[in-house]
Amino acid sequence: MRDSLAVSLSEIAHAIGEEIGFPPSQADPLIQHLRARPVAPGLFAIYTALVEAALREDAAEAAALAKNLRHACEKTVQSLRVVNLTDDDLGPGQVERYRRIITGDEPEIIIPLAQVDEAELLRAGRLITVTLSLLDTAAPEIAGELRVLVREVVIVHSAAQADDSAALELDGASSFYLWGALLLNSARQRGRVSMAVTLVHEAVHGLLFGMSLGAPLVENAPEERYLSPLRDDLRPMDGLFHATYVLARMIDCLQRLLHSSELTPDEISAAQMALAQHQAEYEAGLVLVTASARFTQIGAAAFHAMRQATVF
Amino acid sequence: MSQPAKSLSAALASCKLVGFLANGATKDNAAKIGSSKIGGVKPPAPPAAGLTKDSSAKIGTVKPGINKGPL
Repeated sequence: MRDSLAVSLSEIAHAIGEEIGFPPSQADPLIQHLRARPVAPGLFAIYTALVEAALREDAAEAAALAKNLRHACEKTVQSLRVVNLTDDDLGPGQVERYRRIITGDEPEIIIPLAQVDEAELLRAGRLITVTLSLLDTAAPEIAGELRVLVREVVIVHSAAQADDSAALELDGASSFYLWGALLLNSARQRGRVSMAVTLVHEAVHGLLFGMSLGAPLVENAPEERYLSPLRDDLRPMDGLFHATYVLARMIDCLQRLLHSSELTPDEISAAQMALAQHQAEYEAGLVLVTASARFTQIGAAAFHAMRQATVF
Repeated sequence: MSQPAKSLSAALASCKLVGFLANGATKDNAAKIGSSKIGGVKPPAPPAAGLTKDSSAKIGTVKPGINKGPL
């Protein structure tokens, strides 16, 4: 992902760098930095906004974003951090960009998103810390993968009004355009088991984004919609592919937790209930995807690998 | 005589763009959103009636163009 972004930025600098104050002489050190080490997920948000500004011929906005890009690129991210949905935590203008990336392309669905208060941010941060510690012990491969894929957990408040039938209350979200970040509605996470499964869920979306560089994993047209095992609204086949693949990894995580001796009796009950539910959802997704998906080459390879690894 | 302003979008057409379709006009495949609750109790009505959870029927066009692709 970082290499693809570096290539793209280099080509953009050569193509329009002089027009937007991002000439190759300024871009090259940043690109070297980008290739060398992990960067803040917000960099991808700024990149996306910059391309969009250039595509609509807004040179002033593109230039301002190029400046932001330089600042964001200089920030090195060493390890997973838990942050609030604020510009203080994410960077100037980033809350609006994150919000647009998560919610902006589907005007028919309203997703309430807000920052949390300091007490909730602290509680969520502590829960994530103890959850990662649990995974380190009970499922070290999953913990390792999580730490590679997720650099930033953005804690959000998401509560739909009871009378708003078009609003979608978010549990968690991730986007190709925020690669390395995930949004988490911490109010839905009260314990280590649900937190572990949610973190794995969103991280594995990131894995699939990385495999395909954001391209769909199926050739089915986006406007083809199917019933989803995970959501009440109708979804495109690419979403169903993601859902099914992600469910397989969530099940794997739960099985590893249950096979460890790290869970309390209450957590074992919660994990068993979640496992039964997700296995049923996985089977439903598998039927739909197998029957109707027209895989891309990468999609076929990923789906085959998932089936090989899945013995439930 | 001054040069006409360079078209940024035309210049970008020859660039590799991460996550954008080949023509650079639209983004491709963005957010995955997990939700267990839509608007309190009632999800948006599907565009076709008579479906059950057992149906895998394709549904007509919801929105052409950008595939945002949440779960």
